[in-house]
Amino acid sequence: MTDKGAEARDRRLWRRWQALGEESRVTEPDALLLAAYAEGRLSEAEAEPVEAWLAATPDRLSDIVAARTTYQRPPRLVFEHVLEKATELVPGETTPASAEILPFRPRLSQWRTAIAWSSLAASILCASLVGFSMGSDAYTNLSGTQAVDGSTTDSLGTSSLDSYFSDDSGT
Amino acid sequence: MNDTIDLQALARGEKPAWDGFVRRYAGLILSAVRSTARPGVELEDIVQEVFTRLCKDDFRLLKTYDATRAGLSTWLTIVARSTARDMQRRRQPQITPIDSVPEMMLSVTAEPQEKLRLPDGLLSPRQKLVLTLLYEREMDVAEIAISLGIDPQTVRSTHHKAMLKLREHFADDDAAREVK
Repeated sequence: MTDKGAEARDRRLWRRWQALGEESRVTEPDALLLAAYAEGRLSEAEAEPVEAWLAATPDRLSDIVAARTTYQRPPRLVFEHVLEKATELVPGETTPASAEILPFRPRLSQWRTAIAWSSLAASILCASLVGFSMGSDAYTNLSGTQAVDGSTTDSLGTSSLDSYFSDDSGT
Repeated sequence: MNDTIDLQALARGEKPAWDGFVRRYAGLILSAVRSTARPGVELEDIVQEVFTRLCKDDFRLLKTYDATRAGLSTWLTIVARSTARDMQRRRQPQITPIDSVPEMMLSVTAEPQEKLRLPDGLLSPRQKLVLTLLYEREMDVAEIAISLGIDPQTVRSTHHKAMLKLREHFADDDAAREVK
């Protein structure tokens, strides 16, 4: 089927066959037969009615493919109200589904809980110590600078002013 | 998916069995009908319709299931998609554009048709299916093999044998026409 010319000839031949207008009176096989076909459980003879029906309705091949891939496809999540509506179809007291529901948060063992709390406390302590030491350093630096600044201003500013006024003191 | 479920209890209409069945397969059914759903039809309604069909008339449909012939998940997928199609067909009015109807179907006085000679059973169902998928659906050999769950080589040989039959048939037909 790689030769384009041959493929075109084959296609023409098929069209010619189709033009004969063969009527296909095939009934839809039951779901169990289709499911067995999808799973490849039918013999060639058993598969004939299914294949005849599929030849007449090729769009239904997607059903076979979907059924075959059911195992590979993860089931979708369904809203609780959909389940409730479906379970109400059969009368009776609804079975609680609690056994199938996982707890929101699994219980941790005691030593794991202790480690978790200790880690949290240690983290808070470390953060406090770092914050305190940083704050202390900043305070020390700032207070030292202010002291130096104050002495410099005093010595320079006072002397210059003194000499300025002393020069004019005679006037 | 493991298909272990108490089918006998289910067929007897036992509530716990039904509830377990619904919880277990609702997701699968939703997944199966999702690709067939058209706009305007709620997926949840289709899921409900599938469950209704399964338990209707004293679980008549569910009782037809035979675990020795097919897996429950596979069977449910087929049932669900079939139900979805039926439901959508019921909801959508059947409208055929007049342009797509052949003129002879619209004519009031039916002209006598020339009876065509139809070769009975010339092609096997599988041969017809392979040719339909190749030339009508434009699928390639690999796609057909995956869809039918057969070897690509089987698809090629089926096609080859079908074509030999068609060539032979039309060669005879043409020869007969030339003699006339």
